[in-house]
Amino acid sequence: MNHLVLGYVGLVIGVIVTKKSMVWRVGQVGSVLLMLPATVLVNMNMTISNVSYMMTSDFVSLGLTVLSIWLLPLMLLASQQHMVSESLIYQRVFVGCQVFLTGALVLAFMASDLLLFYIAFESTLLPTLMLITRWGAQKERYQAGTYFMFFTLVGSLPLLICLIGQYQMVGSLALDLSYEGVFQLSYLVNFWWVGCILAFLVKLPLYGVHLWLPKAHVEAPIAGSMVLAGVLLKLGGYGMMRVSLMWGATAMLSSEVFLALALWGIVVMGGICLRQTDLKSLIAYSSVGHMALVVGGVLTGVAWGYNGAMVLMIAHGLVSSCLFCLANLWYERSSTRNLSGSRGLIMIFPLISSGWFLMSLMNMALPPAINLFGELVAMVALYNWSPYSIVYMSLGAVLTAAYSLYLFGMSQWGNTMKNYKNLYTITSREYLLTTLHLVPAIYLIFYLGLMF
Amino acid sequence: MSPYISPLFSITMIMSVMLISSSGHWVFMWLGLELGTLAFIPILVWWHSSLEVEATVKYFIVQAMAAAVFFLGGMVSLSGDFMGGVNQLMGNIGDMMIMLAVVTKLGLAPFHYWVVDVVQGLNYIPGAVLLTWQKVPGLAVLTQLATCNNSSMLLLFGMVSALVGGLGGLGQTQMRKLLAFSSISHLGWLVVGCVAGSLLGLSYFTLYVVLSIPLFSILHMLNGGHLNQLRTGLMFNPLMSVLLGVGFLSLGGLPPFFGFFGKWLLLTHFVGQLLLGVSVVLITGTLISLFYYLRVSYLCIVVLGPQQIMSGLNWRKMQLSGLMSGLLVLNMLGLFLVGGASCLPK
Repeated sequence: MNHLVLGYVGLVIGVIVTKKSMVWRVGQVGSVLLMLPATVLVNMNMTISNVSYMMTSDFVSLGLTVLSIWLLPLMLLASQQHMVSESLIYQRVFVGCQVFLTGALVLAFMASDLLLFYIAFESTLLPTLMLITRWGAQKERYQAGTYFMFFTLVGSLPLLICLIGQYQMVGSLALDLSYEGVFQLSYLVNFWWVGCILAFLVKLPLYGVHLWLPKAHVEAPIAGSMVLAGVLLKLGGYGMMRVSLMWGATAMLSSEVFLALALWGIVVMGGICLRQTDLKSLIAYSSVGHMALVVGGVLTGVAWGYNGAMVLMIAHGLVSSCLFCLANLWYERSSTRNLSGSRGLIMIFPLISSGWFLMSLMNMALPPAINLFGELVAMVALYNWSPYSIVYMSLGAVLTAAYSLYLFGMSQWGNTMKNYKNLYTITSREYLLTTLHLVPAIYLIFYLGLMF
Repeated sequence: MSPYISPLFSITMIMSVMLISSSGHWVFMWLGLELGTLAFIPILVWWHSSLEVEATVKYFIVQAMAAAVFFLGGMVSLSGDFMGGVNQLMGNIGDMMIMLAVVTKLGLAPFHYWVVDVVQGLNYIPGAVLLTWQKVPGLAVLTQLATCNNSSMLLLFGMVSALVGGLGGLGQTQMRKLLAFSSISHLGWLVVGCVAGSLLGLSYFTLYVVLSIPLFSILHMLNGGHLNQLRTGLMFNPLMSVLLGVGFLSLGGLPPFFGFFGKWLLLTHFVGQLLLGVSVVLITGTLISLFYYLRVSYLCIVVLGPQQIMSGLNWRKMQLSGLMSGLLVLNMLGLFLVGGASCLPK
């Protein structure tokens, strides 16, 4: 699948050199055209397919690759409005950054060698950092960018040492081999395992190392928020699946600490979300809660856990990205994200309110949304691991429903504030944006087989 | 000073390295080190400013003292040959003294204090020569010494150096001091690389030169000393400013860039030789130092300065030679070039 990555490289160059009026069109049309080679991905093999030099795709990487390819044109659509006032060179760099980021993500998801995965994983840092710190709104964005960089780097340097060590001992870092037998003798295996998954736990993020995420989300422009919630967090889940598939059940003993933190995180994040006053911050904390269930699903190490986590990641990628879009749509008109300042939106924008409605319901995992399916399957796996975990999970589910309702009710119902003067209508671009999030989220309900 | 004289000094500096690397006896190594220092001193005071003279005097005192210790160590080691029983002991003490002298000359961590002050007083170009080429004589001696039984001490110095280079630069707002601390941190990696295998040290040194020379020369053309002055670049010369910021991140060893290649190379060998603790400490030092590289690149890439500002930097007048821009592009795309080269049919 090298041609897909080369396509993104070409698109970066195209965006940089094209003439003034064509920057956004080239970016959007090009990124839509690049979905064509990606359709090759959707062939329903459970095994490895599309093998090329250093790259391959299989059932773990397939869904997430398609998700990141799908989200690129949506990111470009979403950020077109607030970029028109910037100078031309910055617009080029902005679009180029996003295309480069998506190319790196595709490379990360399709790398067949763990070190290539590591390099692509780290390559996503700089464009994201630029999105946050160059195009963010407040001056706290520098702090947010530094948090983002250093949480990820501190987590991922043990990963580098562990990978190199594994290469020295085993002689290969190919993804599709199982190394279970090689490490069984060594007591070091637990340290090795923790070193390997630490980077991914920070990236997901696990409760306890999640502090960078709300900061980054609140400061980032809409494209940064979308790609963070939509795909970048999923890099962590993907990496954990990869590493734990390779290592088998040998190393699972030491993961109980992380499972406990994840379960606790579900509950705590639900509580924190109920007390948020900022739209973006609420959605960001809800991502942490959802991702905790992904950690739980993967670390149980059973097939149901993996499947549930995968479905949950794709569902969350679409839903949280759309929620950020909706929040930003209001933010661009009113310049506020404060919940107490944004009430009664259903009176102002009735049609887009249906988008809020559907996405809030999906976020709280109402049937028949795919979120429900993913959560149920992951919960079954966790219940199988320990029956007591049902206490945390059910409490978490209740709190999730509560804060989703709180989000929807606070923003849509009630009296409209009188002091907004220039609320221009929702453009067709923004309807398209919302629809393109909704369509796959609804379509996947009928075709769950696409994800596992 | 007449510019016609300068080839004399530079050729002498090159000859001193050749003298060291081709000799097997400590007297000639000492001679080479002294020659290199003496030939470098007139270059340091090229512009005759008082700051430069002060820096040069500091440099000279440290180097002369280290050379004296070097000579003394050689004599002690020689005297061991004439005493029967304590031969081995005296030889060890002599080797140790020589090593400490060389480490002082290089400016490795516990003996690094002179580096920062000297570089702060100098111009960028002599500073660049000091931090790159003037390391070569010392490293040539070290690679021959590292085969002895004192290599664990060198590993320790290397680790401390990486940490000190990271921690020292955290509060700095002066460009030159920052580059000096960065060089100390890289020197730590370099020395551990020399212990693990002299070719590794050489590769890392080459990489460091390739990464840092364009940065030094851009800063020389900008002629600014304070970190805050960099923030006007994005407005006056965006391309150059971005290249400068990315060059710093590359020097810090952030993965998509070329600087990561050296760290990767060295780490592979360290882990292979089971130097796990050493690699963890080195990486920690690099991580700390990445904080100030990131701060510099924030100023170069991200921050938009005010429109009217008297920064005193000549962003607009700056012309880049082909070599320098080539090196900068290599910084950005180096890792992909390496990957592409590995795709070629063997």
